[in-house]
Amino acid sequence: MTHIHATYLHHQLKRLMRHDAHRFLRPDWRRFTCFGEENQLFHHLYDRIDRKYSPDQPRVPRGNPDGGQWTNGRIRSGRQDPRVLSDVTPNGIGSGIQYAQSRTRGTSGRVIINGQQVEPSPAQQARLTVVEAQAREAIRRVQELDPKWQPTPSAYESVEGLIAAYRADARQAHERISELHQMGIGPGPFAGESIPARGPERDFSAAERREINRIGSEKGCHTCGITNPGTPLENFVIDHQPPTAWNPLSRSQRLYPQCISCSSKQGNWISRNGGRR
Amino acid sequence: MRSARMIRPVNSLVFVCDQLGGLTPSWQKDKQILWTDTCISIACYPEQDGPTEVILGTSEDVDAGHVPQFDGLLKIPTGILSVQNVIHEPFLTMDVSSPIVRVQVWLNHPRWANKVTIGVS
Repeated sequence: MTHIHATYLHHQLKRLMRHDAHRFLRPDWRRFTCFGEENQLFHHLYDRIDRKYSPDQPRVPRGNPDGGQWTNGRIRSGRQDPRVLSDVTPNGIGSGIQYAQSRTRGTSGRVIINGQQVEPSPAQQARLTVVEAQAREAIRRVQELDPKWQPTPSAYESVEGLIAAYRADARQAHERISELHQMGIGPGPFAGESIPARGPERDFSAAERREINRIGSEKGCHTCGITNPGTPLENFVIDHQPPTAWNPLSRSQRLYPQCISCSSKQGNWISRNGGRR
Repeated sequence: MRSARMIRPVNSLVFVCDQLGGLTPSWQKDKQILWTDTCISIACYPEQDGPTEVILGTSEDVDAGHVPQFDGLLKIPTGILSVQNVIHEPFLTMDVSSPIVRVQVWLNHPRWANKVTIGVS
């Protein structure tokens, strides 16, 4: 695997934040991307920089609601415009859909703040793209475990405020995921090896018990890391992850060792939060 | 009146509350019994190490003969008291005649109780 030095990455990032970032992008950069990378963060970033500044890029004809705006050659508007940053799928409902709708993005990279269309600078656009993607990814991770969770909305009056709001959302999401992991919802920070669960039932075989005890004695409880299970017969609790009582997306489960204290904390949290009621 | 079941509850926890549920008490490390005025949480014998016998009945019928580990009042608005697991599936139920009942809980071991006796009066 190729190693890329952090200094080089930092240098590249600074260049892409400049107002004339398009100068540093090869016109044929798409040749160097692979099929399936269209949703990658760098792809969105390059795409925005590329489209914004391509001198040969056609514009939407007069008379169209987006008349005069840069286009990719096909006349589009509103939600069909690929420049509208939204993860809303045309017909489906995915995680993060409410989040995507909560902040209005206009066409051409403009954002709507207090009912006014505001044109971010290229550097701000690049930062917006990055922080929005980071916030969306963090929220998606939380919603895999807690689908109803939403970040507390932030008020903002400028593009910088909007960027700060996305950062706040990402921070809230990271705090929430950390809280869930500490409560035993999702593989914890000490999760190492695990074994596949045959199903949600708790009819564990002797081999499964042995394996979980071996992993637990080596790696510790997946939630707190302690290597003493704290039980009278020194058996680790065999913990389904995601927990059977809290698996809203019915994902396949794996088994991890857990200490009795973390198991009790997890059960208490699930009961308090109405698990599988 | 007395009923009993041998169980291995998930997370080694059972909850005594109204059949429609109650406010689960906040978790505290190494506490066997926690409570609010609508729910009592009881830690059982670790499920992977063995079963726990849960006994439910009137206090006169199930009195374990020693000082209970818990003695307090519990709100049962529907008149049906329930012993549930973490996902609110009932193991045992009991009709009570008052919306507020006195509940006593006896454990046969201070840390690893494999016999939990719940008396209602």
